[in-house]
Amino acid sequence: MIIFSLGHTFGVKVEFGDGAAGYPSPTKPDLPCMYIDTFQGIKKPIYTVRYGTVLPDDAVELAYVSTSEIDADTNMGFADRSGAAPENAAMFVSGEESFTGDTYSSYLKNILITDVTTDAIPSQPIKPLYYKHVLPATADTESVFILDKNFSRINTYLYKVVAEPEYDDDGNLTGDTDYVAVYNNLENTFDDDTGLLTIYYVQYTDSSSGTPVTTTVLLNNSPVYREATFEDIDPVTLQLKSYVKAYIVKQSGNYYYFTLPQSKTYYVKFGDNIRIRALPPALDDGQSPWFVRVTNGSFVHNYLGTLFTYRIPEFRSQLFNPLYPYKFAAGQTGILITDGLVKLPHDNVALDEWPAYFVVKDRSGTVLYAITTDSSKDGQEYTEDGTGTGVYWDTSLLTSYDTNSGIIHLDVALKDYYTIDCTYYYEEHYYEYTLVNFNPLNNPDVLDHIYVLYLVPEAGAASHEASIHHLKVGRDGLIKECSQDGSNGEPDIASSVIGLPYGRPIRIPVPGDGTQDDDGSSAMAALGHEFMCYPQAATGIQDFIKQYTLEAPAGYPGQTSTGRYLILAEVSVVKHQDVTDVVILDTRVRGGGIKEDMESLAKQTNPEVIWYGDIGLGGGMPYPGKSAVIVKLPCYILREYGGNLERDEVTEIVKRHVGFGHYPVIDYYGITPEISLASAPTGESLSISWPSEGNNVTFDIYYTSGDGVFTKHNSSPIQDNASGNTYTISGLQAGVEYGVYVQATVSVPFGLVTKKAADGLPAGQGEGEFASQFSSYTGPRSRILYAVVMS
Amino acid sequence: MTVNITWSENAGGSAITSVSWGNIQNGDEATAKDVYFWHDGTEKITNCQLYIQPFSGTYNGSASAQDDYNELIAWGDGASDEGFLLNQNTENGSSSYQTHNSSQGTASAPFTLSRNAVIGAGGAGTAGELDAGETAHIQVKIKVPSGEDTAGTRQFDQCLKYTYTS
Repeated sequence: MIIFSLGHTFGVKVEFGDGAAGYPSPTKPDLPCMYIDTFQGIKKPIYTVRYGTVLPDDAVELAYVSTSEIDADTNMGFADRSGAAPENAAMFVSGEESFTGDTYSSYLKNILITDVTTDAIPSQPIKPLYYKHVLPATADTESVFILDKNFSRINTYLYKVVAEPEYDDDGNLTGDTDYVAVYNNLENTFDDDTGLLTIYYVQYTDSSSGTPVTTTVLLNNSPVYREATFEDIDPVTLQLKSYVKAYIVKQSGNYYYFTLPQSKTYYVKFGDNIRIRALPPALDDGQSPWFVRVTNGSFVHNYLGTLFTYRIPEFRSQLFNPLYPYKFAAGQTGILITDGLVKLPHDNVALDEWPAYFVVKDRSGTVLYAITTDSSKDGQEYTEDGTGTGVYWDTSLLTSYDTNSGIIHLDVALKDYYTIDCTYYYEEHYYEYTLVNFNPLNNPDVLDHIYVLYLVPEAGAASHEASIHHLKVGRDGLIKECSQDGSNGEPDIASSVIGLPYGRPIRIPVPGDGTQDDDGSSAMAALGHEFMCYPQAATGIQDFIKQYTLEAPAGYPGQTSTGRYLILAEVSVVKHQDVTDVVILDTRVRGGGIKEDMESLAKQTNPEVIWYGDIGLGGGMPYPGKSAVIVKLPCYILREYGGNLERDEVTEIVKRHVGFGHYPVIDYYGITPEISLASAPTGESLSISWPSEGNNVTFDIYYTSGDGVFTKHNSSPIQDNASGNTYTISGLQAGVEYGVYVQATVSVPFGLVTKKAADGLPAGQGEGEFASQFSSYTGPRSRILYAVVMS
Repeated sequence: MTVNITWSENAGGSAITSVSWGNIQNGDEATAKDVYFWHDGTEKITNCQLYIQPFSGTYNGSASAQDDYNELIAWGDGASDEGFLLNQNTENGSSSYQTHNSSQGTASAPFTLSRNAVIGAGGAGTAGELDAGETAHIQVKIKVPSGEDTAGTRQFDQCLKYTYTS
């Protein structure tokens, strides 16, 4: 009988014996009970924790670990320095003014002009309205309202509805309405980072068909006055037609001169968007290249009689498609704002001028809707890779849009897991500076440098093809790279400025830690100091700012006619995240893990998925320890070695006492002589040999001639020989196969005596004392060696 | 209990861990900066000594922390009024700057805190001691030799070592 009680980590108490064999048995309380040492090796299974984006088939996911994706808004830093030129300063260009007449002059080319104002009311003065939303001429002006995002009417003081009259080619009134204009200063906006949405709708009723039809569309503004086109010019007088809302602009000296169709009171607004300045990339996600944009502005600056024109000549050299000023955006992902509203990645989308395509898919990629503005495709099947999808192009599902903000309204119940693939054209208002990709995933160099974007003006009659350039400035404040190599007609300064100081500390100093070393009762506190030194050469360049830019102090070369460069921005890319930004989603908890429709497959693939709360029992599943327990037992407990138990019985007992999930590996140890033939079995004898097993071991030799009955051959125990044992059985019959094995008898000191001396303790051993030699036992025998004996 | 030092640009002001000097052109001397420090012990701290050492924080200069330190010491060796300069007579109305060079102002030969730098002490007391509640006021400045022709950013540590009883 064996009783296992697993201890803590090590130590297994084993009591064995059956009394009849001379060994103690617990069932016989008066018999001695022996405690023996056993070996229990516990080895936990080896789990490989793997980090990756793809889950191997044999793995069980533990958690999703991620940080928030980088984006240009968060990770890019802009120091806007474009206001160094007074004509481009935000304060200068952010106001508005009025004038009466038909001409106007300005340093700036991009301005807003209007002759429409709100109507004066007692509590509010008149206010110029610079934008208009155009409605059909058949719209009833009394039915026109602007609604906010909650579809509530906004104050009518904020806009003005006018039925604009129609003129014939001779400039005479026809008596009809050309269009209904909703003049306003409102703007639709959506911030995809914050989700902040400002949206306006225009609602109007059209009764021209006899049945009043009320329509609500997104506010879609355009400037009240625009730069004139050919149709605005009288072909006879070559002057502006008197009734158009357009102007002609020409540059003369350091001013832009605007000619208007009539002499009246106009209002002019200088918006912040008309300054020349650098802006963050249009596509700012982590996968896209981050190209800084520069607004396509223009202004003239007079310095001591020399006119400097600040403009972006390379704006027109961009890759327009199909023609200037449009660009093609294919396969863009629309941002779902609310049910039906989608923000396109670009502003100023050209939905009126060029076809656009919007394909709505569910999360499995199944096409649900194919929406287009292209009437020639209406009703045709949408195909992908030449394969029909069963979905047909539909022009009716795009109900309205705002081209300025790039927000469209689809007559579709959009779910948050839908994707909207958008292909469209947009009007480019910016010059995209593509010489530097600021995405640190593509260009790690940006993390170690500050980039200075600057504009080289055209002095006097000089002109060049490119005006925007950059410097790459190292952490030490020295210029490492300059793109202005003279290849576009501008002065070549690259070779002169590389290695020289930029001229301004351009980074946040890394502070000393200020900690102190506590050395018993002595300590030290450190205060970090940092300074830069830009040596002043006797002649030549001081630094970039002093040498070339408008920001140079008086008397430095930058203030002269050879310089006057305008620094637009100092651009940096920083790491914003730390360990607290790491997001961990434990997939083993409820709500994580495996999709319901994949559970069966998952269980087949890896049964351990039942440990997930969602898949296993609601109250949880026992979590197996999954250890392997190595139990080492003396082999003499086995019947085959003279013991009382079969191997299966031992295994069953052991399994009964180890924990669930623990796999027992039973290893028997003991004296097991390894016998072999000492020599060829000739001479009608059989010689065997076996190694020494210790001086407390004796051996008996048993043999059989094949009848299965083993007979001891030796007459007295054979004492172990430290140098090895041999034994020869002589007098055998040639041609007969004999079997032979060696039986060991061991005398060992073991066990704690718990039996009274009267029950057979060795002489000198007292009750409860540790026996130096309690007993001997018939140890394990060797394997049976069979050999045919020859003559 | 550990006694902690607070550095500040003002007496009793917010703690600072670094001083940024901006650009100092060769031949120029930066405008002196006031530095205050005090401790939070309940007993006075003693053996207060000031010195400079290579920058111990994350180095972001143009050469190495050791090179910057060596350069600063060499500047002080070249002329007594160049390099990193320390004025401990802030509270007695005088302005006498000590130069950090290879023989003084280093870890092995530090400047002992003068009682003339302790606000309200009137010069009284034992040099090198700063009592609980007292504030030391020093001025520091940097002068770059006119012959310096290497552009770049330099960093170094100004240190106060002291003994305290807990």
